Amino acid sequence: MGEVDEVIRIESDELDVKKIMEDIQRRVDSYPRATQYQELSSEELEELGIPEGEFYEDPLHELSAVIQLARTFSEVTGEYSVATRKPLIGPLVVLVKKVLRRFMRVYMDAVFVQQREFNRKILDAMERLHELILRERSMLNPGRLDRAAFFERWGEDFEEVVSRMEAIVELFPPDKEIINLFSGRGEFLKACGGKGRRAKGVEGDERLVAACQTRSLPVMNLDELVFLEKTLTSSLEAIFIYELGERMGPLQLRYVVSLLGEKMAPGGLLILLNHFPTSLFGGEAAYRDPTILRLIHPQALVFMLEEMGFASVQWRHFESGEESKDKEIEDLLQMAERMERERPDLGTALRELVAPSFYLVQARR
Amino acid sequence: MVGQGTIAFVPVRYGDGVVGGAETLVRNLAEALHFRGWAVEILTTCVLDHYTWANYFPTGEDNVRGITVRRFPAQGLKVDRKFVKLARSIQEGRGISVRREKYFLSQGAFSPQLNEYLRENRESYRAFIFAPYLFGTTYFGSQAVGDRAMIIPCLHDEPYARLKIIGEMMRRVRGVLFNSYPELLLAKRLYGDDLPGWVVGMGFEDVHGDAWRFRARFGIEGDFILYCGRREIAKNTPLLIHYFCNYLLNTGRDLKLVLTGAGRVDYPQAFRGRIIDLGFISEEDKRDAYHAATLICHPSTNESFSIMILEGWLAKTPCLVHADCAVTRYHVENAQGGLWFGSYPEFHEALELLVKDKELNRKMGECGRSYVLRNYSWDRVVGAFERALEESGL
Repeated sequence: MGEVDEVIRIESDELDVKKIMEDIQRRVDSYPRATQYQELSSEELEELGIPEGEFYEDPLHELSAVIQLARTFSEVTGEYSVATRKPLIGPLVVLVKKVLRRFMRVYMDAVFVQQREFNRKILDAMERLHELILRERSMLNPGRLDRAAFFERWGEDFEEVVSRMEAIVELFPPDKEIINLFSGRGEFLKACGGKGRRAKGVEGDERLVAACQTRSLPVMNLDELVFLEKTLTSSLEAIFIYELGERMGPLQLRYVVSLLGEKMAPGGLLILLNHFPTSLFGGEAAYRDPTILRLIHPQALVFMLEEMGFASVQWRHFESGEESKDKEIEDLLQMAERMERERPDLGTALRELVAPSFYLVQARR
Repeated sequence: MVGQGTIAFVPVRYGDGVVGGAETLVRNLAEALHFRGWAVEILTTCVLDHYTWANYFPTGEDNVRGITVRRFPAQGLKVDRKFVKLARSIQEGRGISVRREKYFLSQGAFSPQLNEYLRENRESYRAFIFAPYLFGTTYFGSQAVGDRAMIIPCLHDEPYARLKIIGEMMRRVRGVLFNSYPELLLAKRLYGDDLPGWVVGMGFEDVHGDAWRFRARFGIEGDFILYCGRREIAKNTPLLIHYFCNYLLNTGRDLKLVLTGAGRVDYPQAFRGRIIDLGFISEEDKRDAYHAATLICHPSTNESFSIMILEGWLAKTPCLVHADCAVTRYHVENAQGGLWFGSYPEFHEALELLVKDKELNRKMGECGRSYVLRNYSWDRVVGAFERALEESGL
């Protein structure tokens, strides 16, 4: 017998799974089993009807389930089992059935060959369809676009973004720890550090996390969605997100907003900073970044936040120190003002075209 | 030791699309050795699917990610009346003669051509590593190469492990490579303390996954339990589905069960919106799923290693395992990475805790990850493999 190493055991001051299991056992013993832990048999579960309104959340799930089932039944064969329950003449019945099966096989197999071929083709088609849907969805998903590589080569100047963030830090109550979801390179965290504010970043991209860590910025390497899911309900008091929803699809955005609604404490403050979609400057900045998939109109964000239970949701244009207006823009704004008196639609359009690059949303839970 | 002769792995199946714990383990170990400069070859059958045992891959030489694979036709599973009767006798623990045990193994996945190749070329290889234990390829193949045979048995506590010829094979070969310490203890209990055995296992790469990508691709929101692998009675998946449905009825909680892998899944139609069967998914999708899952449940009572829970831990996802499985419970107790259940009430309470207590869930996930990184790095595993070869004199 060779030398045997047992594994290295993980010791944790806060965790003892054996003790947790003892607690579970005590709880199980103390509750009446019949009421707390009703256990229906498999047959009883089968007899339950489909509840009203219960459906597949996503048609893809149904397609997936049907493919699995079809695969099970696609191989049609004449080799079925022969049996009987008749006690005395049973063996004779089985023999007759087997003889019949043998003689019928020639005719049955001719049909089954076609049926099997048909089943195979149909199953193939279903599988291709399934693959196509997955491929289309992957193309819509930002997970494959490399933010770290883009930021490194073409990203905005780090310090410039930090100075943009400084004004936002001031909006949060001084005694609260700010969670910066999708913290990216850590510009907001740096701004918080400069003002002596407690903040923690959450970022799923390992290379961006590593970049933050080289700057000694406090960041957790955790998928942002997982962070929200694993956070206690009504526990987050201050959250800042930069470019929320601009790198994800509408369903994901809706899910994140619903999680924010669930996890933020009553009265908690959420601040978002996004590109203003109708601004020439905002559009130019956003579309230069290939990892940004779409821009969100401020009214759309306000609507979603209110739907998820946020109160006093407000948005406004955000002008940071770096965006000092030059004379030409001032002239355009004055022109817009004049135009609004005669053609309000054109005047508003012109004003929005030269609006600042970003808008800011503030919402309270 | 690198370069001193070729190591031949002899799994029953090998190649892209092959599903199974032992097969994954062999593939990963062979590739890890190959990438570290060892001379490695695969000698296997043409089988892809372990349900039909039909020859799928072409016979002859192939190259899979730089490793030479030689495939030989399998004679296929012969399920005749005698075979079924023998299988039933073994499962019921009734002793059968050695001659019948050999007949039983020869009817399963076995390739006479592969055996012939092994016999003729035994001197050309430094060692032959067979896996897993209950196949004709392993039993007859290890006889063909004599004292150059080692086995990765992937041993379970099951009636087949008590066959006389299996005990004889375990003691006959040069060494037995186990995946975990409890598996080694089981082997000692079954075959004697003097069994030449080492714990080697499998290493894990710390590969990044993307929970967002998984949710976007498969349209899955909210908390969910994940099970990846073969869906069959032997893996206890019907029990998981049964307990999960009862849990939903008792709690009304908005939780889903996501199943991936091969095999048929039957579930009550009342829960069709809550049980999502994704079938076979790619490695990348699986890694993403580990990141997105709230927890992983492995209800099997017969595991020799459990790749699923270790991969889940790498993604900081805790697990729920069956109390009667020595191996998964050993991992969980040592990693502090999850909980276990032996009955429905325990399943109910443990699941409640893992779903509701997010802080506990996070801590267990982190402990699990530390456990995998510290115990199952490839350097550590390859080191253990090398030491086993040296100590066995190969």
